[in-house]
Amino acid sequence: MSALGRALLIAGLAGAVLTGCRTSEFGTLCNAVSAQPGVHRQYIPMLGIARIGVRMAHPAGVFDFKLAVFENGGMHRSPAVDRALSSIDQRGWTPVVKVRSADGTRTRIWLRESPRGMEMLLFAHETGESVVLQLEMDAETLFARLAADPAGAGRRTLAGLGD
Amino acid sequence: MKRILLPMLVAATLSVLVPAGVRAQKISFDLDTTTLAAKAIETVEITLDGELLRLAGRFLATADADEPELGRLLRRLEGIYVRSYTFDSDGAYDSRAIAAVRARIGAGWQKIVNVRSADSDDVEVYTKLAGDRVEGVVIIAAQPRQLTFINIVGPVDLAELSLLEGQFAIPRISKKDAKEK
Repeated sequence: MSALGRALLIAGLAGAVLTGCRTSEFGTLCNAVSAQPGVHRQYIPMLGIARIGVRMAHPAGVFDFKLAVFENGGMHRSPAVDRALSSIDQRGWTPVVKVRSADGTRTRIWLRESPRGMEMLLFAHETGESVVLQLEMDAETLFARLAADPAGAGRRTLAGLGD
Repeated sequence: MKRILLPMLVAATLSVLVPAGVRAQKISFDLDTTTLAAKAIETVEITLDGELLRLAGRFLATADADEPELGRLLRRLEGIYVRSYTFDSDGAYDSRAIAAVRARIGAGWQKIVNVRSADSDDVEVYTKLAGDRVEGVVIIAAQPRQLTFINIVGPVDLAELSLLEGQFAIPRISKKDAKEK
């Protein structure tokens, strides 16, 4: 192999490693939640197939999604999760919605532009269950839902995928 | 509806008397959120500004959108900030929280609407004027179990405010059967 070939191979491998190591914001939130004691990520049957279907058919204006649901064992506020939530603001996402309830229920929604429309990152926490959802979807649909029901936009869109 | 919009229109007409060059300001509502949130059973914060607001306007203004007027309004605005607190009993919040927000509304702002209703659904509307244009609006909506602060930054025709009602967690203010004092 020539020197140039070796250099290209090394550069390619380094790029692949770096890309693989970079944790997405979705991953950051999932890691923070799953690291809490007593929290378990729920297995969602056929999620991979559903995602392929969404990528092909774009139901409800959604181009792609990632979803993680956790049984949180009644977990309340955690500094680690709070830090992860705060870190999202510095990573190209714009915080749009914050909902907090006295019973510990929390919803956070961030948005950012994507080549095909908009991306929404949602963190919802309630007694017994935490949800991390990332959606890439048609901007017109997203903003219409966000205007009509800011706090419920993510979950309503997720529910609409099954229609 | 007329009870609120009529004074707004009158104020907009009178606004030519106000010196030009007054700049809109974002009124920060951070002051009492901790106190209010501690007593509230639900706190909702909506922040929509900058490029995101322009994007929302662009997409909501497309020809086949349900509300193209709303989209056109959003494209002109610089920010929409909503802080809403819901309580589980009447009068659970301290009215000093409202006074604190009022105190933050400084020079250059005019109170154009002050609705006091028999069932305690009170609404205050303040505008920031730049020449003959409204460049900012602050709305304080106080109900027995809900307190909402709304700050709209950017040029807005007061008649268009109704377009924002029911959107982005902004309560429907003008439809209340309120009595003015």
